[in-house]
Amino acid sequence: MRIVKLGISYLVSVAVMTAVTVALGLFLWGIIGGWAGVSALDIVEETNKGVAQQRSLLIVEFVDLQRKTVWVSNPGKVDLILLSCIVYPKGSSPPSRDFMEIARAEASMEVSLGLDSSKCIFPDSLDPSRPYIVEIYAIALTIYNPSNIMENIQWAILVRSDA
Amino acid sequence: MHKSKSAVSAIVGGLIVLAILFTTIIPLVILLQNSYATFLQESNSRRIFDTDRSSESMLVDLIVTTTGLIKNLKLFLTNDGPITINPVRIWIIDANNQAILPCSGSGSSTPYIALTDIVLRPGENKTINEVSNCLMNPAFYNKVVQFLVVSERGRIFSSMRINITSLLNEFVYPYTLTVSIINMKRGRDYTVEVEPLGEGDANPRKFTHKATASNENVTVAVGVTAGRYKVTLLEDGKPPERLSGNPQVIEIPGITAVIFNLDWVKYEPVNLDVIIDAPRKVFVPQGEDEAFDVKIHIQLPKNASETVEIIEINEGMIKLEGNLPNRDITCYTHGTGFTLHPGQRALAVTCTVEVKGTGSPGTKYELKVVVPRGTIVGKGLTSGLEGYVNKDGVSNTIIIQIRK
Repeated sequence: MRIVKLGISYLVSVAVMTAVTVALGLFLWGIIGGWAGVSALDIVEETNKGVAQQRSLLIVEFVDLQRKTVWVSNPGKVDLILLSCIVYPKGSSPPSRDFMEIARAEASMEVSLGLDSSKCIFPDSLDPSRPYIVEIYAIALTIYNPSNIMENIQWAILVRSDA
Repeated sequence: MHKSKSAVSAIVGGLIVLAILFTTIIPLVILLQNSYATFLQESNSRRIFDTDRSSESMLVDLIVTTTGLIKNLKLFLTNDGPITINPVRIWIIDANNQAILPCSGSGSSTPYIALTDIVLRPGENKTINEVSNCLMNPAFYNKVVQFLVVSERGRIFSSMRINITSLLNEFVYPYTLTVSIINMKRGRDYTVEVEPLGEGDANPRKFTHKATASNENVTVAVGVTAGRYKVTLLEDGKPPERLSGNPQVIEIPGITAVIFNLDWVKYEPVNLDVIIDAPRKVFVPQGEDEAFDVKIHIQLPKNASETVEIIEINEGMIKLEGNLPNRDITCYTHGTGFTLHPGQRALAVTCTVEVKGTGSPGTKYELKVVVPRGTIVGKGLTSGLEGYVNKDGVSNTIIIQIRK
């Protein structure tokens, strides 16, 4: 009797409530789906970078102070992009450096890669009796982004060795 | 009736929540876990690799090996760690100057010695022969060297610092150059100079010999490394006039022998002539003794090519032949040490022959003085040859006649 008095059928009200619930649910599903998708991409990307970093390995075999050449090799599992190389006296502050692709080191121990003074920054004069430090930044080729220097630095490995 | 109809939206809402849970949240969680597992797996793999790397242990020594007469320097690698090691590269460095000493002897364009297919199991040791060729390079002289061996996992093992100079003296010259000087002139100084033209090295680079006899030959052995050399012969400080092909430029190891033939006159000893000066006839009183002298001269033939010094006279070899029964000969020399020029004659021996007048007067006997070959010996003053000996010498027949 009350329904009749209000003029709204019970079925209509149920339909309206259901429609609203469905609309809100789909909206929420969309929001959550979008967030989940973005998060999944981020997770995959981060994981890839983390894995690539774990696979990156670079060793300094020898620093030829007479010829100003740093000999490196890559015993890791991924090819590397060398971003910077500096040699400076031990105990002093490292000089400023640029981060750009200076060489590529294949993931192979068959050859050793020489970085001469055109690729590596050396002090003007070198005294073989003094100790030196060599620092090299390198990043896995698979995650190297030429347009994002900061990201490259973040995911690069730093090799520091006595010379 | 009222309750069942109002629960429709709640049911729909619940279904949507479940759908969201199963289509987004749960897959996201699974992805997260998978990613973490992947990273963890990679991280563990790296940790295992690092552990293996740090477990590698290898001793690097330079040793001397002897095979027959050949000695060699070899690098001796010993795996004293618990895991297998694959050495891939050897650096030879100048420890004092922190510089690479390139191994040009290996024929490789790289400044290191690349190793292939060398596996060192735990406890195993191996020798690297390629090092020997590298160390023959003169660039290594006067250097303190160190060997760095790089493993496939990226570990670097170093040897002790080695002062290579003292070690190399014995091994550095893998080739022997022989320089022969033929027909030298007595009394002259001959000098052989071996001068490297480029990277080679020789020891000794200079050798002097004084000829003690004419036509003397001498051969000098010189230790050399591979390379080009100029070999020069000097006679009393200057190149011999009559010698062609001096100096000679040779390439080791292509040519390992040089001969300088000075082509001096070859001296051949000649026989000395014996001239016996004896009386033709001697009268001996019957039953009495008689003595007479016989002089023996020695002469150097005119065709002799050098002066000869008489160094030995065996007067005891001089004897008498003939049918005279009672006879005796006593000889004495006039000394040795005198010289004979070609064609010259000199008195060498004087003999006294004593005979006895046996038989009736008028009886005749024959007697001869014999100087056998080798009684007188001379030596060539120039050549030093001692082949100058006398021919067999026989005097004229001496008639011994018995008289009253």
